[in-house]
Amino acid sequence: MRNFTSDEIMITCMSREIRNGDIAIQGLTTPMAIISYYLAKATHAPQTTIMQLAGNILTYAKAPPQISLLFNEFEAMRRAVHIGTQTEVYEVIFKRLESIVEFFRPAQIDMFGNTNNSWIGSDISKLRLPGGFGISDVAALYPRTFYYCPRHEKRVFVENVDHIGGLGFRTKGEFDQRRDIHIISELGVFEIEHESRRMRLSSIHPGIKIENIKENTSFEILTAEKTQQTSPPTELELQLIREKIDPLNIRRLEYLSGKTRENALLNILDKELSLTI
Amino acid sequence: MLKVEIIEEGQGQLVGFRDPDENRSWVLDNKSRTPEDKRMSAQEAVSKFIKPGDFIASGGFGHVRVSMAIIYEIIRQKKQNLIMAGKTAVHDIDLLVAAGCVDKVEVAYSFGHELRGLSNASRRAVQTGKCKVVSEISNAAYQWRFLAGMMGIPFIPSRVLLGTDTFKKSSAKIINCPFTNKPLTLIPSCNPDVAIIHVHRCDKYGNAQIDGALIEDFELSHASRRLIVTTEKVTPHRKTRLKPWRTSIPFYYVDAVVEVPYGAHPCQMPMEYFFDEDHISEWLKLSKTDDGVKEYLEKYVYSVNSFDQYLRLIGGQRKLNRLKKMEMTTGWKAEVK
Repeated sequence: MRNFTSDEIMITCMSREIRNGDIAIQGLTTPMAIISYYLAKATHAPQTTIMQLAGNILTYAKAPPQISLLFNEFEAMRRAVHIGTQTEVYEVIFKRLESIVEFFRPAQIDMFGNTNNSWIGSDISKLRLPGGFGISDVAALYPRTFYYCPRHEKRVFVENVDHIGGLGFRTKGEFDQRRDIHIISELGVFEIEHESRRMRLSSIHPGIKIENIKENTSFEILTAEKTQQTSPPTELELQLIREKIDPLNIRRLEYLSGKTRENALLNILDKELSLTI
Repeated sequence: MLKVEIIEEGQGQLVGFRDPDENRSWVLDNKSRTPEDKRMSAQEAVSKFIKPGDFIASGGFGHVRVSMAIIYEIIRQKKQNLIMAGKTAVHDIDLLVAAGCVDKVEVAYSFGHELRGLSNASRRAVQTGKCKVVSEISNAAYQWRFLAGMMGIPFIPSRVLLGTDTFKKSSAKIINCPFTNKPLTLIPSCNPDVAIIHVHRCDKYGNAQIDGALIEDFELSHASRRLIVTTEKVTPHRKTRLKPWRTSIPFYYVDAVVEVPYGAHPCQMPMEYFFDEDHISEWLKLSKTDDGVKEYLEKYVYSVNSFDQYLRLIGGQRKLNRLKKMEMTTGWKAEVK
């Protein structure tokens, strides 16, 4: 029996990708990414600077604050040392590509590390999604690009994405410079291998079998002869996630859909609202 | 000698673009440079400055500091065939598309309500072809579009979008850089026909001040042809002169000053009032069906004559006081599990 949940091991893996002194970009609608930044800051990377894209704010916080659905902007405003404009955010990103960490959540990712958040199907009439937002800006430029996929399913891990929003590698293409693409899913950690440009399993989460990965992926994932196991979250990491950073379990929303998600969302909103009056 | 060539051209429709010389002469002919009293009602501002076919852009970001008073007024006046900048457009674009006012969008981030879920009504309109996505774009590219528009130059060279399908559906072009010989994306400038921006305070001439994050509003306000500013409060001109460094939008960019307290409702106004989650949920619920959309618009827009009347409908002063109090909470205590 595992003493942690899928979201907790994912957040731990994401947090461990952050190096002390990195600038972590906080986008919209990605609670797991925010939790992982706060976790890194509270453990091995206290000098992480968090730059919030929603409010364009550089924030410094010693103790990890609790994350919130409603008070995200509010909190960031009060922890800010500087409030810039969006031009400034991109200026910082493009000047400091090497020290930026940003976790994106793709709707689709393929075996070459290309990702899509624009639409599903051959045209937009089937399922329109929000669009390219920041991924198209930077995926081809970051020396390290990070994706996280809470739901490791065939419809997420597809052979070819329907629209390339985030550039991975094409079978042959012009963006040949060496860059790392890491993918963290509920089943394991993956990377795009430099030689073959294909997705390879780096480590498998405890309690997961290779078959689980194969059954839930639409393409063949490269594996080593002896697969490494992901080191599980420590007691401290679990305690920080559960008690300090996300006691309302907002991270769970990333796994839910439809009516269940709506109810969970309303439930969290109610709890947050009850704390304010 | 290095020869500059166009390597690839995006196939998206170029919207909101003006030849900088043409735009400059339009500004010379059409924009007032005298400090004059620009105060007017939302009704007057919308009927005067928003025309069918206009490319419009709404300020703020997501659910923060959006000029909802003008959004509702556009719907009430049944403006049509508008093209909108999908620059992290959330509640504003969802309503305008649902009401049939906007039928073309250039998309960086649209049709979503952030963590609250995807937007039902505008996605339905896109999937059934009622609303057309004329081009795709990215966040940074939108920023550069407004920046170029503000600087009076036709494009900004950048390295975004390279290699993506998003580029192919955009209106950008890729060249080889004449200095480095590496591929370079040229992002076309944008001068929206009309921008609508909600601010904290503004004098009657249009000198506007924003508290908190400016996001894109500095570049957007300076790039737009027409600019409608809605403000929580019209303040005396001497107050502007007291702290002129806080004025991010000077009067000569502004065409209309509309005083609308709570004008961003149900969105948040930093340091003023909080998101009205009850109201946003009501919209998300009703917008699941076309009938629901009709019901919402009938109740909150068409059968309402003024923003004050709308504010009474959503719960009146009691509700607004609550939202104000929530925004001013000095630290929310969250020990509850």
